[in-house]
Amino acid sequence: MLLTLIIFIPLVLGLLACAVVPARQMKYAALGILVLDLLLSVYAAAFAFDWAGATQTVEIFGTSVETAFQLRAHVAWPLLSQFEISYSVGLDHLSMLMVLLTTVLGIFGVLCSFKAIEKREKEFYFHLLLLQTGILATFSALDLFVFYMSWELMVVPLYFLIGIWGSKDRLYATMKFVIFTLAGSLMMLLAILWMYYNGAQTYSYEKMLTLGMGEQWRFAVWPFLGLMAAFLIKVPLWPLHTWLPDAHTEAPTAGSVILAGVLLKTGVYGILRFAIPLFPYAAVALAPLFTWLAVIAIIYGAMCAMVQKDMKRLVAYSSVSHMGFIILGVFCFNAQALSGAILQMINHGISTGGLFLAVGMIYERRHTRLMSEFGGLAARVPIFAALTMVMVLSSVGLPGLNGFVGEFPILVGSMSNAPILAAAREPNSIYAILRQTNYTWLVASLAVTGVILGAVYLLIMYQKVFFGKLDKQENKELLDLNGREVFQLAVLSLAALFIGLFPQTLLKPINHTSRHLLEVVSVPLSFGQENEPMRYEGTEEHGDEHDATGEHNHASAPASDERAGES
Amino acid sequence: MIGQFQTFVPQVALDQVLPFAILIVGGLLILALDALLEAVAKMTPERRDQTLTLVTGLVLAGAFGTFAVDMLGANARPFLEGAFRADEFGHLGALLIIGTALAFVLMAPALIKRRKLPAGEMYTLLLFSVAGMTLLTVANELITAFICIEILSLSLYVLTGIDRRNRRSSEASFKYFILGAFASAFLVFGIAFLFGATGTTQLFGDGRAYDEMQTAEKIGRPVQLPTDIANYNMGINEVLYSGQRIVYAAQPVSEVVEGQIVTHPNVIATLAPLNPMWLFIGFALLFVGLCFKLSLAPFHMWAPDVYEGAPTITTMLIATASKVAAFAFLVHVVEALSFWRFFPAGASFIISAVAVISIAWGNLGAIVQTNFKRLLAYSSIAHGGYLTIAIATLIHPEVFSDLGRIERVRDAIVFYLFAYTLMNVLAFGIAAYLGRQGEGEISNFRGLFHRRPAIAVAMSVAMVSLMGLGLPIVGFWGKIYVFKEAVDVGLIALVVIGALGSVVSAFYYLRVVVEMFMRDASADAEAGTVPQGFAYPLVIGLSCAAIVIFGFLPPLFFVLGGRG
Repeated sequence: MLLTLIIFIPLVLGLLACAVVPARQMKYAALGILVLDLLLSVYAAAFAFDWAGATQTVEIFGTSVETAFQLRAHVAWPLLSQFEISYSVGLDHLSMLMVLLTTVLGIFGVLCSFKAIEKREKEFYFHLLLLQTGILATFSALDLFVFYMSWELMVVPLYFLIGIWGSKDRLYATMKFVIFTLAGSLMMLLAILWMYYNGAQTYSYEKMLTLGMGEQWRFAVWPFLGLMAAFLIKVPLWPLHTWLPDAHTEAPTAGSVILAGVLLKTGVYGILRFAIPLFPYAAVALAPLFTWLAVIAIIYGAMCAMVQKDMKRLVAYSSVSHMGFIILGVFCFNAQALSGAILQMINHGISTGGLFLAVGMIYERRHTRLMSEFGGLAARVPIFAALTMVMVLSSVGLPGLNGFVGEFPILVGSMSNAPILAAAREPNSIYAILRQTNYTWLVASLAVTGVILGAVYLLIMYQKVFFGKLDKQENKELLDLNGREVFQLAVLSLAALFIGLFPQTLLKPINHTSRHLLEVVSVPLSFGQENEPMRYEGTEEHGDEHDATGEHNHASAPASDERAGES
Repeated sequence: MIGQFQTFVPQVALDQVLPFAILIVGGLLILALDALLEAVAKMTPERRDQTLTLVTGLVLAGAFGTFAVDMLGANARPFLEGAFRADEFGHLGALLIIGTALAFVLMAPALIKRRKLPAGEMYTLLLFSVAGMTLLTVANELITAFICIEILSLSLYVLTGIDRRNRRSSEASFKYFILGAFASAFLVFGIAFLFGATGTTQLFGDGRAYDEMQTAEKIGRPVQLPTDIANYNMGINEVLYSGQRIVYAAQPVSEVVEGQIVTHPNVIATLAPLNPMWLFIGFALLFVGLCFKLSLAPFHMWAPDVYEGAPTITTMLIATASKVAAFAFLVHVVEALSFWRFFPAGASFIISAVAVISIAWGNLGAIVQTNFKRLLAYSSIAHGGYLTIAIATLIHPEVFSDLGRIERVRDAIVFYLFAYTLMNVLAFGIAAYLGRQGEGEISNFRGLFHRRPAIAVAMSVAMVSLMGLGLPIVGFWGKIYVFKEAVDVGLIALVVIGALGSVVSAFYYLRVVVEMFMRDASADAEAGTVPQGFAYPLVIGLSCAAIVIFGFLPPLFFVLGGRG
């Protein structure tokens, strides 16, 4: 019930506010609603959620299911229960973190629009609140149909946010965004239908896990790719990224912040939540493919960012690059890289969200985002310069800030993604072909260049805007940040600093999640090994007692999970 | 049939003909009232039109009621000497058609007043066309079906051109007539071939011969049909099952039974080997004829012009009700023909090809349209394509050997038709409501949200539902129902093409939404006048609400349709 409240409060109260609150006051109403939502989610995280991660046994459509999800709600859909469709939501460690990220960043989405949005305010804030509901539902859905619906629900408000309040080429950008997303989600829909008819006979994710569908779908590649198409478009991974720079550039600041901060994470979340656990074999087999795409995305995104003249476009391409790191970390399948990737999901929300806020603040003052229009701003707006510096450095990955603690484990982990090699035993199989391409050292070293390039383009941007001579007349009259703006950037800077200095607070729940995921893929990872006990770095503490025949199924997962919990 | 006219005095039970009788007698009544009200009762033309509207509404409501209480029994037994057969599909289809006609009657008065149209003719033709359509949904005999198609088509030709002072309307009517007549020729030709191949024009028999053949198969004796086959009222399904066709003999037939020659003086029919080629040609020609009526590509050329030229409410009728009827007939034909074991292999190719071409052509053609009604015409071509995927699923051998699955696929089709009807009634209803602004260029919708926010929201509901992606509204579920059955039998390629088509469709449907919400109206845009009264808001509100409600509870449709 608490979770359902958290999800639907923005929508329901937003509708109510639309009816009773005058347009000029709508922003305060929206802020109030989101603060209430944040308080509820903090309450849920602090008091209702059990971070130790106890499992419980529940009954889902006549099957007794052991589930790690908490704060669950499960109601069979009226008249559709024979298809086993249900309104089913719940949180585990990963989704709890994502819900917190969403509720936090939602507030910034409202705060940064206070002055920027002057026309059709009611609609604007309603769409922002609707977007919040869509994202929260996506992060907590445990029924594939509900997940699909929430996934689509996210598209609608963003479509309007970009299309109505965007800048010049907004219609082109919003159409491109919608068509890309719809193409992906249709592939996902087909995959979901395929799953239903090929053994699952249910849309309940928890039940699918219990039924051990991962083993049954050992050779299913196409449905896995169908899911991945939807998720990777959302991430977005090269070469599916082309909608992102357009959408970001044209979106209002709030749209960009939410888009970069939270929406892109839904793609990674989908991979971690659904694609890998449901198709562990395909995920392991195709992992080299995704690692290579990720490497290309890292470098391509960075190089594109280097040549941009528009700051917002630059930050958008930097997003492509940084999301590449996350995908790389996910598909290395070892504990370090995976934890780093999940941590980086939060970090990217903070630092890129902050950068978009900063660009939005400049844009509000000068109505241009071209770097050539600026220069020497540090002298005129010192507070703004200092706070932006923190965001830039956090995005670059300076040790001591959050970017470092996310990217470093990914790079270390990518160096040692040996287990993928172990999977390549069958000659002439796709495994063996992919093995040929899996040079871990090459992957890692190419990815490292992404960090360097990141430093180059971000620092060059900072230099062009804030240093040099203050020669433009308009820039000499710029006003420094007001309290509301300082609050936004300061909070994000403090968060960046906090995570950079005390990553353990977040890594603890994150490790819980990544351990869980590695359990799921441990059998596929050892698939094809004859008599060799599986050993690889990073997961020794629980990866070594699997028998080598590859005949394990998921029934062993809870047992080893307990051991992991003890250690 | 031949030579047996003496036994062909149809046994008519009132309950079987009442719904249709109401419609036809109602049509005649309107015709009479139209002449009499002015001359005898001395009514003003305005008053006369109001009375006619009221009477038409009552007639349709009566027909709806008789269908709704299931007068026909919907038990899939042929009646009226095998000419009709009401199953659940035909039953629900008829309800949909009458529902659409009710929407037509609600919206017609404003148009009649504005364009000074002859109300009596319009309502008479409406009732006749509805009679033709509802009869077609339950037709079980090819000649009867042909007559139904002609009744509905001829009425629709005239309804298309009823706005005589509008040149586009006349042009559309003429085009529709020429191509429709052409299509009718194909239909007749196909029917002739089917008759030549099987010896009967009845689709489903009364089941006695089928039962007997199945028993024979079960106990392992060779299939041997009784010689007094003519009394069996055999349908194409049973003929195909036996692999033999009925041959009508002029003389009494003799046969040797246990060494004795027995003569059957009353027998006029016997069985002979079936020629599959004729059958296939017959189906192909019939299918082409139906493709014209259903505006499936590549036989869709008339649709955009007719949709654009016809009065908007007539377009609504053509786009929804006539398609429901024709699809019901197509479903019954392919179901009967599927008893021929080779049928799916041959027919699935043409059916799938038509589906793919319709989806591709409809969706790509719609992209470049600037006129709203032409856009909907192409959209309806694409939707016909999605429905044809379901037809391809229906004849899949895997489906046909499983009664439960046939049921599911038929459910999918009828639900899709329901969804499609709702969305189009809403879209055309809004277009008709906005009059000049709604029926012309899409750019006329520019900034509609500021002028009429409720209408703009309703139109977005219609567009998103037509798009059928993502949000759980009725169009989405229609697509899910169709696609999931196709995935289940492994028609993945068709489904992927359908899915890609839907993505393309997002582009042009959302363009309407973009115009309404995201562009500001140009300075010279006038608010326009809309018809007063409750009729239009009622149609728009009801269909919009139904789209949303059935989106959350799709199976409610079947519950309301009488399935417990």
